[in-house]
Amino acid sequence: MKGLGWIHTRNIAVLVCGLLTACNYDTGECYVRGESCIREIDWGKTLCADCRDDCQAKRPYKYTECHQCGFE
Amino acid sequence: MILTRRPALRDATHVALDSATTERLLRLGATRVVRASDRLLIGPSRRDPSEHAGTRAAWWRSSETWDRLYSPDVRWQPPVLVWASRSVHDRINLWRVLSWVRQVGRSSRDVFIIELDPIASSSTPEEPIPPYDCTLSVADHSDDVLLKQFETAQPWPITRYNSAIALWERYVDTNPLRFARSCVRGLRGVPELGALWAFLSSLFPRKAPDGALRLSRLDQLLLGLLSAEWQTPVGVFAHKSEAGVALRQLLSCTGDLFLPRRLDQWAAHDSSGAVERVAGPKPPDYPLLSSSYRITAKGVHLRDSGLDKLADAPGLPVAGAEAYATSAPWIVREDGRLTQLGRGCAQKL
Repeated sequence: MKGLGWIHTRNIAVLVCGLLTACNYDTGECYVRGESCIREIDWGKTLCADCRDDCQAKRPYKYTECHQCGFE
Repeated sequence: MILTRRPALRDATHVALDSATTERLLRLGATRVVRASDRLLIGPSRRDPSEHAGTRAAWWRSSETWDRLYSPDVRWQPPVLVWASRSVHDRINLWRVLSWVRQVGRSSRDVFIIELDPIASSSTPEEPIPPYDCTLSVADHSDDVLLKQFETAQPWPITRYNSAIALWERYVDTNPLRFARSCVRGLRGVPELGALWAFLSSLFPRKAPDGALRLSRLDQLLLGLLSAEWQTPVGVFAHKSEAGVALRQLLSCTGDLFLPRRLDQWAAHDSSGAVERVAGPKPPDYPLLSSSYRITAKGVHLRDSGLDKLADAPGLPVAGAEAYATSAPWIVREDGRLTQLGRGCAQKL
C-alpha cells in the first residue's frame, strides 16, 4: 500500500485528507501512461497538466482523453 | 456546426488564445480561426514581431507551430473576434494580439473582444486558487454561452484599446520597471495587473530585509522540494506539501514542461553545482520521467542561506528582461517592488 495515492475517486481522497488529493495522484499516473496523455496541447503544457487543472478546479474536463489518462 | 446559420460569426476572423478554444470554435463551424497561443508569462518576449516569434520558437524548442498570430497566411478579414478568458495568461496574449492586429492595419472598430468571466462554482477547489489564475479558458463555457457573448460583443473604446497595446509595449521592454510600476500602482480598467505581478515577481531573485540576496520564490520552492534522494519531476510536481501546492500554482502559469526545463538549467549550471541529474526511469519521450534530480550541499546552502552572487543561479528570461542577469540585476524587495541591485533609490519603483 503506497498510501492514499491508490484511491482513484477524487471525492474519497478529499474526504480522507485534504493534502493528498487524487488530482495530484492521477497527474502522476497520467505521466506514466505516456504518448497521448503527455502530448503537448499548448506550448509548454501537456494534456496531463490540463486535466489536472480542470480536476482540481472541479470543472468539466475540456479533453475527453482525461478519463483515459487516469482522471475520474 | 451552429455557426453555419450565422454567417457573420462563421466568416469572421476568430482569434483563440489556447488550443481548446481553437478546437471549440472550429467545431462550432468557424472557418477562420487563428490560434494565438503562447505561454508568455515565462521566457523571452520581444517588441519586434519577427524577433519575438523566432525567440519564442527557440525558447520552446518545439517543432509544433502553436502560435499562428504572425503567420503570413492569415488575412485578418474583419470583423476580428478575439476570445479571451480572465486568466492572466490570456490577458497578456490579448495585449499582444491587439498590438499585432493594429500593425496589420485593422482599426480598433473592426476588433471585437469577447471576454468570458470565470464560471461560478459551488464546489471548493481541491487546492487554493492563487490570485493569478492561469487555468481559465474560453473553452470552459458552453456553446450557448459563447454564442450569447458574441451577440453582445462590442469593440473596446479606443482608450482601452490603446492602453492594452501600451501594456504589451511595457511588457516586452528590456527595462521591466515601467511595467512593474503599472502592476503595483494599478491602471483603471485593468484589474488583473496586481495578480499578474504576484506571479511575475515570483520569478526574480529577492532581497531580504537583512540585505541578503535570496533565490526567487519559484527557485526557493523548487530547491526546497528537492532532497538528497533522487526524484523525478513528477515526484516534485505532485509533492504532498504546502510547498508542493505553491509550486503547482506557479507551474499552472508556466506549463508543467517548464519544471524539467528549470531543473535541467540548475543541473547544467556549473558555477553553482546546486542540483545533480541522472537518467530517470523512462526514456526521453517522457519529459517528466526521463531524468531524476537531487540537491547538493551547495544547493542546500543557496536555498537556506541565499546567494553569494546572482550568477549562482541560472538566468531565466522573463518578458523583455532576465531574472538573475548580472548585467541588469533586477531583484524584488520585501514589499514586492522591483529594483535594480546596486542602484540608488532612483531606480526603485
